[in-house]
Amino acid sequence: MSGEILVLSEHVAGVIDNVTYELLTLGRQIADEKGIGLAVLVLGNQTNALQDALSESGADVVLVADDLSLETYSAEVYAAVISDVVRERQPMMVLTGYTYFGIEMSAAVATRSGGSILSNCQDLNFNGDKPVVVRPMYGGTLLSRIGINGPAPYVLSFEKGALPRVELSGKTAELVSVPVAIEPATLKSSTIEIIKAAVGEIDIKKANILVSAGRGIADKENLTLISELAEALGGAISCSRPVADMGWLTPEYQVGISANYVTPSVYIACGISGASQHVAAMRDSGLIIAINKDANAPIFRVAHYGIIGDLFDVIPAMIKEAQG
Amino acid sequence: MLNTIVCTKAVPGFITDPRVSDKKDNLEYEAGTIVINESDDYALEEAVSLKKKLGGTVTVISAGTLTAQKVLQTGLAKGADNAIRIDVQLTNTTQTANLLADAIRQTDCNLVLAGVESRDNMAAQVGLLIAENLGFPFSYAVTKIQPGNEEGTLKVTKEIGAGLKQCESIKLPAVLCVQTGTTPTSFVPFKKMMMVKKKPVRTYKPLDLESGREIADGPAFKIEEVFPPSESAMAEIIVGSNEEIASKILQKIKEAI
Repeated sequence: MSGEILVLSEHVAGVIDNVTYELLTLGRQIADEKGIGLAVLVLGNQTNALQDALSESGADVVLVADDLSLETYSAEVYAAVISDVVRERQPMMVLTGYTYFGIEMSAAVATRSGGSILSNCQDLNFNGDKPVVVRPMYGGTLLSRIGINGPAPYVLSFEKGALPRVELSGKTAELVSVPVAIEPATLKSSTIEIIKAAVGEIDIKKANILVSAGRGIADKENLTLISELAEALGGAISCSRPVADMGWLTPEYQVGISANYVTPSVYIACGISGASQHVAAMRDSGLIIAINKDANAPIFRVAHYGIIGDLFDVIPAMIKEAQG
Repeated sequence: MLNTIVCTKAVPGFITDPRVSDKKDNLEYEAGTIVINESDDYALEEAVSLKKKLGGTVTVISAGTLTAQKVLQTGLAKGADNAIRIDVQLTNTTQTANLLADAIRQTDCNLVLAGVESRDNMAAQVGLLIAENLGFPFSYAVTKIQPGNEEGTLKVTKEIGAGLKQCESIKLPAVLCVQTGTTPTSFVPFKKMMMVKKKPVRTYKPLDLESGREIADGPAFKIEEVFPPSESAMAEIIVGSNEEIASKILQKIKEAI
């Protein structure tokens, strides 16, 4: 097999995101098995600290695209730079997160390099030289094993938290600068501003116990029950995306990759099915308890304890028990 | 003026007995009610709302079997002017996107809206692959679409993760993948659905379109198997009366804090 494995790194506020280390762990394993190289690409402006963080993370090469034009994320500019790197280096495989960044980059990189794309992967194996991935369907109630017949590079995005992360050390990676040739006049988009979430009185990230409401609570009025349980336990309430989408709670209460990552000691998911975007943002909680009528709900795959039943029966009993 | 085309997908509310097709290129199943994919519904609402504000037309498009027609009729009942269906059901996102792009190219649209992710295939790529095929700029997880400061542009706000949003100016023609929750979705009364039933739906067979011939060459992906998630990853299920469950769970909570 020719080519290398290329990991597209992600960073927020000057810190490399965990999904990058998860991808590097997977990439290192395949690179060793196949006897090929592992490269990681970092894009940004003044990336010295990011380069340092990646230099001993298992990669053989850290590719650095450092330019003022990459200071603020732009899907158009980043896709152009990454696609140039992929066309130049012709990796066998490009690994990225199934994240806002990875989703936006995958289609462009695969199309512009003539490769094949499979997104939202959880596991990877090989059939000869061809990748075989496992990915969810139908809200995660079903998994499919899919083999790629199409051409390389194989652009694969992985769900954050789905892959194990192993601390990789050893040799220091070679730093290679990659050219950034962006012609501003040709661009079809430009950033006006980056908007940070309003900081209100609510900060669910600080709560030690979170009682979280999902679509299964069925009605806005039933939030009272969720609040009563939170109060009885000395915790706070939060919610999944549908509850915020319906306007039952404001986005500051929302747990998910678009809103808040939380790691309370106890997370109680009430009527939450467990979409990957939600799970990725709460799976590191200490104790996870899920209450759901649907025994097949994916939330039961991440919870430590589950109650398959009607939350309107179970929660009042929990409130009574907590109040002693 | 905006001529918007909205990519919509008909998805089953639930499925039973899933199995791989003989050609290993698709999934077969018994389906419950067919509904419009959630984020596509929001994209449709955005398109109709933009038409009211800025004028122009709205066309709904779907790649799907005859059952997808219901979703297109929902689009027409909500205010779309035209409907297009490509008579094919594919699991492969690249092939689906290429067919949709071929059909979109034959319209005079200058804005393509799609949802962020389909409930069944969960790939989140079709809209973005259409953008690449057509050479349009793109924006994913869009939460707000406004007229731009310059002619021929839109001002778009999108999620970029961890509570951050990016507001950008994007030149038309463009592809925007709309996030859920952008605007309340409307209910379509039965009478309105009946009224649009006779509206024509332009229908393509895959071979009417350029990329249809590639599909005939064989699938680029092979579905080897479908299976339920591992039981070993399952939570320990607490059983008993409500009181017993409450007592056991509270004990676990006490131990954890």
